Amino acid sequence: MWLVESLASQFSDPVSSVPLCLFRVLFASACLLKFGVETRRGYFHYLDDGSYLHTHHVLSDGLPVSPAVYRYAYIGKFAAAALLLFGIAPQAMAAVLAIWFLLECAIYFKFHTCYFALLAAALAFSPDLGDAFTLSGLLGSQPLLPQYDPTSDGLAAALVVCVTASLYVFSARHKWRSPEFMSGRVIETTLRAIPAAGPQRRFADGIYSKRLVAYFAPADRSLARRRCRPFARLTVGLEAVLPLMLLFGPPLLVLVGVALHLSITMLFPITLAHFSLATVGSYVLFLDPGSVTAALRGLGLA
Amino acid sequence: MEIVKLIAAGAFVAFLALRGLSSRPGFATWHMFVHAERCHFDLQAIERDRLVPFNPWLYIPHTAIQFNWATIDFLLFYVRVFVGARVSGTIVLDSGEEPDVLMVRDSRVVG
Repeated sequence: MWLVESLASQFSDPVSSVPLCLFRVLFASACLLKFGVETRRGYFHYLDDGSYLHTHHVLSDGLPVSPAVYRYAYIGKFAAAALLLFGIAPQAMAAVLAIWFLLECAIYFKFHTCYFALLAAALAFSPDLGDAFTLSGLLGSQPLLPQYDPTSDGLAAALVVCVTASLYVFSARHKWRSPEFMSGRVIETTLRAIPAAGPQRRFADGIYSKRLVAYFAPADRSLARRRCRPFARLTVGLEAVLPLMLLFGPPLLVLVGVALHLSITMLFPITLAHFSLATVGSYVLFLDPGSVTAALRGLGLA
Repeated sequence: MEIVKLIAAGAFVAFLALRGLSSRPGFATWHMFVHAERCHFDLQAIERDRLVPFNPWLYIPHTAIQFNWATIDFLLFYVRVFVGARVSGTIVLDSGEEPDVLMVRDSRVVG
């Protein structure tokens, strides 16, 4: 297993950097998706004078940055994500994005933003992010994958694996200790509240089929929880074992993670699509780097 | 150089573990979907001596879907002081076995 071997060699043995570059593309795409959805939802104006968040910060802990700095940084993050996508100064762009996500956490805290901050910080450790899938490869002046097999020290990939593993394991731990989640109440109240508030909420979260809501959130609350409880328990079980399954199991187990994220994304398809893209995208770093590179070459990318 | 990488990786993992074990939600603690604190608003504002529907989602960040007493209190304070609206109606806080119905008058919870 590549992660154990890399650790044992103190990151001195080279590993293929192609999966890391592929993750760079997926992560940058997830960032652009997140920024696009959030801009549509008015995030650009979140720190304007008199806004809800501006008022909240002024009355509690003070503004992390001025509204003007926020707006300049807001525009800059799009450029950083686009440059990261095309592999232009990718290490610096990952660092810029990490700083942006930390700022975003200070302004409007969300766990998926923490996750993005940590992923960007992990990528900023690698000088090899631009080895493949670059703009010149896209324009045809170079192959998307170079003929030689580019390598890295594996440190950034290992850190990304640790971030995703900690996300799953500790999320499972907190859910396991939460009677509200384990009883199915969280799923039930979410499926009850979000469609009910739909006409008031200005932006769509997704399409909730009436049959789905009627099955998981009927008027009889005990029935609703009986129906939601198995899914809550299954989620905790899968989150707890998924990192080990991805690291030590056959590559097809990736599909289990994909299924888990499809079900999570079902609750908030538009809000959480970028999170699922980044999380599932990180699976390429759990797998054996040589096998991932060979599979990509098999797709004719070389 | 290798030892520096190993120390960096160790520090990163230790940070993740310490944060993840924290019982208080915060950066990298991953308390997603742990609490069922959802809310439904049925509020009206007084405009020119008439009651008109009031939509708090015009002001609340779209993904701020977890509500408790403190966030509702701040929301009503914001509506009263910064929006300048006098709202009345009900807020249903669905966080326990049975939902709490809060009565709102003049942008304050009265019962």
